[in-house]
Amino acid sequence: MNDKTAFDKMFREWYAQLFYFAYQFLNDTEASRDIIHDSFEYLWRNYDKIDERTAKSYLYTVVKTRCIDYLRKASIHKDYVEYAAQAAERIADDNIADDRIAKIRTAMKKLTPYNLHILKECFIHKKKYKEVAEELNVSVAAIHKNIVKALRILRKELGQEGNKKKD
Amino acid sequence: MKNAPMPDSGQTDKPDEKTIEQYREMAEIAIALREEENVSEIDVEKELSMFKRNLRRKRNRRIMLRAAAVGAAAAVLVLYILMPYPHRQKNLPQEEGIFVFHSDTSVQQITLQIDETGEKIPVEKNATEMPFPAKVSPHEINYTVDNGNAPTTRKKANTHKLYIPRGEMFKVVLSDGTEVLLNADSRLSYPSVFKGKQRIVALEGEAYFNVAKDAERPFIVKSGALYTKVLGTIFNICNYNSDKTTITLIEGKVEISDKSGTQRLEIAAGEKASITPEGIFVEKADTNSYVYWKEGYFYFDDCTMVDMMKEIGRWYNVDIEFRNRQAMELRMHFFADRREDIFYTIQLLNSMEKVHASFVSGKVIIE
Repeated sequence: MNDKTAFDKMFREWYAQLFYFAYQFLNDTEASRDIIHDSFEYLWRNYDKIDERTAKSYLYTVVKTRCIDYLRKASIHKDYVEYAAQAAERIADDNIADDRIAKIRTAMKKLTPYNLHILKECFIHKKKYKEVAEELNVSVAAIHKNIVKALRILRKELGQEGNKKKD
Repeated sequence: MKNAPMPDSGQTDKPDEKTIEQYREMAEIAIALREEENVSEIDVEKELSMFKRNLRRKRNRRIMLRAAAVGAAAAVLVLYILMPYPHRQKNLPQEEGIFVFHSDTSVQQITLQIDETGEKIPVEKNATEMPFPAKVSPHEINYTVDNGNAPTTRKKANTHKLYIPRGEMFKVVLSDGTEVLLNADSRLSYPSVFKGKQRIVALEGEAYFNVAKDAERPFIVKSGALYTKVLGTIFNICNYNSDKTTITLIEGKVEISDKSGTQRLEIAAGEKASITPEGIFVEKADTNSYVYWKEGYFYFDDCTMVDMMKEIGRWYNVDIEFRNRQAMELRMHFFADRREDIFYTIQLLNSMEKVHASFVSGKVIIE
């Protein structure tokens, strides 16, 4: 690529997604930010050698590798690092192949505000089902059912890909 | 990592497929949710300009200095760059709790002193009754506007000195139309009317100058060991640190020298120069980052915690105590609105997850 305005466009388009990707595994704002900035810098410096079509997979690969490195170096439970590394690989691969995150964002629009609220409480704020149940004054089973329902809707919107195992 | 979900499988060598898939699905949804909501309040434009700035800075680090007139200082300078802050590290006292900044318990108000013997008149209370021709309001003095006061002393030149306390900013329009925005904890002295062939003012602290063009009468700023001579231009001068005065040139050209005038050089827009006991150092700079203060922001780009906290202490007028020596030399990027109160700023600082700061009984403690 020799047009550096395309770089700005990529930065704007992918920065947030890559950041939240890193944050998912590192749970550390500054570390995630540093990794994303470093990765874009890497892209910038190797810009001439990279095809625009592969730039995204390039970025995801660099970010993923650095996140896994970071987790390995930090004193984090070995089990978690292994699971996170495997999951990160898969998420990165699938997202390069067909924009899974973007698709999930679109699919989320099919959820009711109540569904979405419960998903957020459990998945973003990492609350236990029991806490959410108490806040909403419903049973734990109701929360569980709601999550299952939300996941079913999302998977359906994604064409069942959510259940498909990687080969 | 406290919130990282731990899979409950007991096996350590081979993570089982089902757990990975479950985790992956949850992770994907969480990423999508966070992106959708922009939970971390990412400002992509800000990140992009930060990114570009860092690229430039890294490049500049290699080019660095062309300290034209300062032959002898060059050797010292190389050392200075290669070993950042060595002297500071070794002098740290051993005991717990290192105070790096002290609050000032005197009354914090903007005052004006006429001639060295005059008493300090609080500007805010006496805004309309100043005994000289100028328009005075609580945040500005304008010497180009006559308020009709003091007709007998009209056009007589007195030395005026403004004292700006911590946590305040103040604007002065001098008699030639030059605008000076004074940052907190600064003092500026100047004649009420410029007479003679030169316009001379003296600064302690920090100020942003927009000098009115007058080719006949150069404008000279004396600040610490630095003398700056200009005809008409825009620049920022900072000498909070008594050993170091820095000028950042936004527009035009200035000539700088030390007090004796033995080292003399010209700097151009987009450059900054610092004078220290070791000499004068010139380098390219992202000039805008030096004047965020005038828009009401704290802006620190790859700055050590200790310097950053001094600046925060100066604005809020609080003691700063480090209980963690390592934290002092941590380098950070930090951007905050200083019109917010100290609790908000501390909270923002903590959200960077690098240090833990707390504000207890008038004192900021960093652990």
